Amino acid sequence: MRTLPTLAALALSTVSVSAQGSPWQVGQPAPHVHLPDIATGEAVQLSDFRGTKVLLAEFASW
Amino acid sequence: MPVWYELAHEWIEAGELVMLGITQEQHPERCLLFAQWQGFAFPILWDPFNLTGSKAVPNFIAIDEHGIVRSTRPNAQSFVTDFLEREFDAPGREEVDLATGACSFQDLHNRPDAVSALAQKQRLADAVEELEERAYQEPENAVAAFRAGVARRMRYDSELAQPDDFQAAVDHWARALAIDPNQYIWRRRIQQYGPRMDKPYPFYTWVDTARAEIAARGETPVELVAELTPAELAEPAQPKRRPTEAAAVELTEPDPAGKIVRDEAGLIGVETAVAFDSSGAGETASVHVALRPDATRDAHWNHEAGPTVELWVDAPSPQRLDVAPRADVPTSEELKTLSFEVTLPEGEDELVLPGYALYYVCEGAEGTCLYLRQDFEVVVARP
Repeated sequence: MRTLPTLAALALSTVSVSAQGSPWQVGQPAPHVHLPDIATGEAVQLSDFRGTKVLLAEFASW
Repeated sequence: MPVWYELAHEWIEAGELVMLGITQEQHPERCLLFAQWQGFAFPILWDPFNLTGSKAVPNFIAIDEHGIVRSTRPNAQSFVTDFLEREFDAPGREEVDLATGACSFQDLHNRPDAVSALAQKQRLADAVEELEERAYQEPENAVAAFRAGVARRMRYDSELAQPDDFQAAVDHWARALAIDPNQYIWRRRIQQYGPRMDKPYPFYTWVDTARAEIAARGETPVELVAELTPAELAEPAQPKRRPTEAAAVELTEPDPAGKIVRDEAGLIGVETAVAFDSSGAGETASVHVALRPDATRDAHWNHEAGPTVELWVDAPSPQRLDVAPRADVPTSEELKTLSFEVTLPEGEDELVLPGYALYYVCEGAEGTCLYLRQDFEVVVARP
């Protein structure tokens, strides 16, 4: 059973972005990402995957 | 996107790589349906307020085991040698702190965009108010305007919807884009609901194919919370092409004498929203007319007597649209949205379009069903 993200999950959402605007700067720590999973509604942090290489894809279905 | 997933699949299964998606779409279930169709088996996170601040998608970012960004344009051919097989040095303590020292709930609560106010559905109205207040207090703050629009559209898709939510969302997004025209994620919001001339490509034409292929696999397609509107399915028009007189079709008005009984009780709420093209040129607009059964009266559509909704709009090119009855259920309560395009005549800054909707609506579980008419006006004003 898939659960869409709840507004409660959104409430915990945050991304720390550098003052320069772009959140992804080569050689710099990735920003803290804390957002709800669209399938489970559970909040996920990018730092949960520390210790493993990550390929992050920002995309849209449109 | 599917190409990268195809490449990364074996590394993910081998535990050498984690793939993580982020989508900035307004409706997350559409991305979820896309992922189901494509067979994506990795987590996708929802960022409707564009907290990442990215200006366009897609973006692919390679992040090492220490949380350091190693590439923002990874090369598929050299991905294994340049990234996957390489051991990166651990950064100094200070850098790690920069990456992880972000979010206590209190920090979030103090965030000016008031995302925290969305903690409970009941507080969505408060969140809209708070985000809009910030947008109005800081009229040059494009981010605030964009987020106010997102919250307004969220409320529009909820049971707390207010009649002007959709229009307000479009207006906020247009304001945001006027301040920062280079933000393509914001531009897509307007183009999604906007006229065909403004669309770079059709937005959600893949949905029917996806649903059919998912069903053929024996799975149940993810259900969409907000069904697709015609504007979201429209093919892009050729730039600057205008309708010709030869292409005009004579339409017959469905109730020219105005004899259909009016919906005096307001069983159906009529809401309109006008989205101009995102360039700001202000010539062509997509007009959305949404009809919402009043849940407090247990109003619902009757699908057993012809078109569920018919719409007539006295535009320069008159519009007659309808919604076909559903074949799967006899009655239902969902929002029905119709849309059409209108181009302001040269020299005109505003058009007032009178129109009316005809529909079969029922009240209460045992209530009678009536064929009713509701008159409305759409004001199309150059932004």
